[in-house]
Amino acid sequence: MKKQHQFLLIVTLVLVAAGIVWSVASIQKAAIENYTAVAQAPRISPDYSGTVIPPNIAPLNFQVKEEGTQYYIYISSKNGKSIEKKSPSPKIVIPEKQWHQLLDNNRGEDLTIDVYTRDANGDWKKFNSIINHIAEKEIDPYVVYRKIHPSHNTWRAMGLYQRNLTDFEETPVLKNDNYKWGCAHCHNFNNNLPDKIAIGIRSGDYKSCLLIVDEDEPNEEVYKLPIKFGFTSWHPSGKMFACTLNDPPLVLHTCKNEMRDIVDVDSWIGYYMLGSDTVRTIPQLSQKGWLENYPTWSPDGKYMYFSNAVKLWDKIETVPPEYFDQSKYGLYRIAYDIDTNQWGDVEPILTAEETGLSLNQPRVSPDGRWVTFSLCEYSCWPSYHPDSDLYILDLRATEAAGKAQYRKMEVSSDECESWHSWSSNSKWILFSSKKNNPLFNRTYMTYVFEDGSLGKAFVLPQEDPTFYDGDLNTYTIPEMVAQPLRHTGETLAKVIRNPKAVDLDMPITGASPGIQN
Amino acid sequence: MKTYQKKSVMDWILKDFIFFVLIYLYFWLLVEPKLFYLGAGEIRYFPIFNKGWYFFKTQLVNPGGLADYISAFLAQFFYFSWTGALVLTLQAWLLCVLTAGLLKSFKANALKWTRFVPALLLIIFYSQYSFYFQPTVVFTIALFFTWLYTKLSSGNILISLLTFLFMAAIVYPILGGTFMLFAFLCAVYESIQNRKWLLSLGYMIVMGITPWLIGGLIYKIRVENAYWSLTPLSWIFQVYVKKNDIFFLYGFFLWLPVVTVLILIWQTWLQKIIYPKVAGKLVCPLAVAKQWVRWIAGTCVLYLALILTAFLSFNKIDKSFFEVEYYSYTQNWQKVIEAAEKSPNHFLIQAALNRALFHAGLLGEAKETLQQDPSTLLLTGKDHKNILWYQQDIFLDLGYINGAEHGVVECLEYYGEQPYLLKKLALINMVKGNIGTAQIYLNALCKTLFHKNWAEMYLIKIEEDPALTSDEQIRYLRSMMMQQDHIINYQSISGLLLELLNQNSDNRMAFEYLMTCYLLTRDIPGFTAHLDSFNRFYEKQIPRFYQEAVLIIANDADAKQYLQGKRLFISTQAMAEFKAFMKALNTFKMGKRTSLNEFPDEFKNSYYFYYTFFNFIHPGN
Repeated sequence: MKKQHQFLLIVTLVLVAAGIVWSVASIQKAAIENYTAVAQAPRISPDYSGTVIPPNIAPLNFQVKEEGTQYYIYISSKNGKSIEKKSPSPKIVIPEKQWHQLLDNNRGEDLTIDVYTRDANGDWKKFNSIINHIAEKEIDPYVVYRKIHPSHNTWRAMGLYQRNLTDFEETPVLKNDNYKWGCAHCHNFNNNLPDKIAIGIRSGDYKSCLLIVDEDEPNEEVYKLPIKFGFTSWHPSGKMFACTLNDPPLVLHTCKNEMRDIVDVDSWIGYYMLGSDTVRTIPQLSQKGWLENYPTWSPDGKYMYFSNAVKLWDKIETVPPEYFDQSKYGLYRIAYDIDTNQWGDVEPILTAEETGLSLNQPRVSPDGRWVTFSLCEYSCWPSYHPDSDLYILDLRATEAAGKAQYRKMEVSSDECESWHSWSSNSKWILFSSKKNNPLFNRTYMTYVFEDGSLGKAFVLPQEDPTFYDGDLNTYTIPEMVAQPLRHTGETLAKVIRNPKAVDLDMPITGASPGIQN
Repeated sequence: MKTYQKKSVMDWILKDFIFFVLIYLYFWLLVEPKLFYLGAGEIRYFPIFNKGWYFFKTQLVNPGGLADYISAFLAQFFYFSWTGALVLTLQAWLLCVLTAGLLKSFKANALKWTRFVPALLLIIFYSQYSFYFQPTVVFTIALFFTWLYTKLSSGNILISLLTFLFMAAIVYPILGGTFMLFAFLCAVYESIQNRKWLLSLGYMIVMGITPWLIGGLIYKIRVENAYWSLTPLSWIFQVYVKKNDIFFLYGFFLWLPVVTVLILIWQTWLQKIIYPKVAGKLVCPLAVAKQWVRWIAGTCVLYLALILTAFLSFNKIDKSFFEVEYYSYTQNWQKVIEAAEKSPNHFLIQAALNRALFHAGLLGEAKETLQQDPSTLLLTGKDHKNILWYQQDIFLDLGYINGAEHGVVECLEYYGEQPYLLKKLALINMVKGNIGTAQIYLNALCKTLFHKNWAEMYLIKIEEDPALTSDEQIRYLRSMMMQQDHIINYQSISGLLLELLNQNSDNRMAFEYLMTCYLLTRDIPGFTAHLDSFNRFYEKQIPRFYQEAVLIIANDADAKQYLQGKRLFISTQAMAEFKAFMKALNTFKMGKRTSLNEFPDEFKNSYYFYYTFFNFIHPGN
């Protein structure tokens, strides 16, 4: 080797070694001893302060919104090793392994985050500690949501994605480039498990359908029903699901801030018994004068809850129909016996007259104690209503009082809160919120205390803490799942593309078959 | 040796260098790549590129992602014509060099002259204002890998096979379906160069199974996508390819495989059969000519081919279409008017021209104003298609913010996250006071290569003045926003314009569009109802058509009642012209002439003529 080359090699090695030593030393000597205390909490984004967090959640990476030339973060709790992070950037990315160890060792304890910033003179400032509480109970480790631009009539790339809540991995469940820019929308799991799934598909090229994953089906675990269903809800037995048929055109407003609005011109609720060849009607829920929507089951399967409104128009051809902006839904339920396949009478739980608002998207907690739903001024589509907030109704208290006992959730903001789901242990709710901007839905989570009160909501963490700042997607229908999905991607897409579908009898193709008037 | 080198340098300068300099100048000055960047609502798949790791990572989730990423990055340089032309010329040059290198490897030096074919095909595409940048870049990368393989392959079968397999494992994720081109050329190469037929067969098998193996099983994508992604056979490509371009496009992709197969057939069989029979009998005159004669003839043919390709394929009309939209976006209204003159009579061009005429203060007097259907004003005709790209601009100018938002949102889905659309969405949301939403669009723009400054300027403005009350454009647009809500319905053009005018009586564009609508439909009550508003907008003189309309109404026994009590703004010149028109009309009527061609030309661009002969101009109305 030439001498020049030897010299260069030595210099390089020395520089690399010096770099390593410097890095290690900075980590070792990270603790800040001399600082000025600032009597206020640091501004961080996203806001991960004063809340209850799942013990298995991914690191809550954040950006410090205080000025500084250097940042030092100290994350600690009662037990185990603390996390220290020194960074020239305000973006704080927390080491995953250490984070999980710290959280796992401190279930039920507080988690303290200390933020220090260094100014141009080299002086450090320490802000008041940020304190979060680590819950005992875990959140279901996966969420499946729909990711799409906030679109009107047209869409291009969209899909259903599965996000691991314990880390940052997001994997596609079904992307629409596998079936020529079709649409995947409402998806529903049975008991927070991926062994039974229903996914609504819209496709001009391959025809709309309902995609079914049924792992109990010996011959075909994935198949499709050739019907354009709206919303589905699995009966907890997994033997059937309730489904809606809707006629919901999009209309646009000339000057409302959220210009989109959806009117369900006509709708009814039916059900499908797995293995059968018929979508059956429920006479009580197929009335021409009613708009039935959003079925959801009590965990024992004895009641189906749904939202329901009086249809204020006769002509379904006129879009939007007259008085569409006065259409308000209430919460109802109907008894059902899976063994005899008998339906009971419809019972009002919380009517539109009582609330003065429109109730949508009811969901019953898996422990059967709570019903959560959204309320907005009118409409069946709260996601386009900035006034939409989430509410919680105590079924036990309601039963005892003989009157609906409900209240607005603490997580409501000035913007729209809508789509939501419960974790399988009934301790966590994931929901879509447009907090901080009136257009893009982000996924938030909140802890449910024993009395039904809620922890401060916080946004689903991302690896890059500035991720949401420029993300042009809106995330809706966040459904929690306890296990990763086993049927995804091409396995689902090829069923959509395949013309083969269950040969199905429908009572009528349009909405409201009109069995009773 | 020195003479050879000199000749070689001369050859390179006169053939390659000047050839590519001319191509560069042609792209830069005539084709103007900046026109593609905006796309005129015609280019549906202009690649999107964002800075940063996240975008890079998302690009790699599908086979071909890296090639897609590279082409998206390079496509951004179409933002300026000179950089776009540079990218295109470098691509053409690279294609030329790689083709020459491959032909040499395929022992077909005699066909070296065909190395210019891809460059000429690129000229055809861009001269036709067709944009196939992504597939052509991917093709170029495929040629590069093929060329690399020919350099790495050796006479040893095992080494060649391992090299190929190693490269296949890398090239498929980089190129997607275009990997098959690489594999096919490698297989043919082994047959020609080393006569290793079994090895070639093995390569063909690898070509067949790799997309399924890597794309289908590892990437878990649709098998069809695994094979055809980034090739002209992919379904996405089929959506946007122009019918007229299919021949050239397939030619671009297939000419080299076809040529190499022909070389293989020639060298393996035909040469042995035909050559001994024709040797010495068929002699090409050029083959026996002196070298310098052959060189000059070859160079002349090359330049002739270049000139003919450029001349015959250059589409002036399509260019003017792109120019109209480009200059509309840059608000160079005079250029829009000039470009529109060169364009075909098309409702989209007319709509852009209306906008330009308004901004240039000419909507009330340019002859083009009267040469349209009223539905063109807001692009509300039933036969109007693909209008949203243009319509949202009109609505934004009019202050019809939700209408504009709808158009831009729809365009975003149709054309992708184009920075121009993101800018409009940021602006619309700032006007609506949705600052949080606007910041998201502005932050997204910060990730682009050329729109960061604009976005940062607004982000700073928001920091300083969160309500943006000091921004003149935003204040102006806010002042024109509608306050009365109802469901959007585009059935009545005048209804919408009246609503905007009622909201803000200073909305000059709504006023002039409304007046134009009335003039075009000869709606006298509507027109005259707004005469009192003239002094609001015109200090000295009202536009020519309005004066002419007033005079013609005043002369109409049935219509003049509408002018009672109105203040009129008529110039003496207009009065004189009106008298002259009436005289010409009388002469025309007395002469019992029936053809409008016989009417004096000097009046044909007047509203007198339009109003009087409306039923001739618009039969059926």
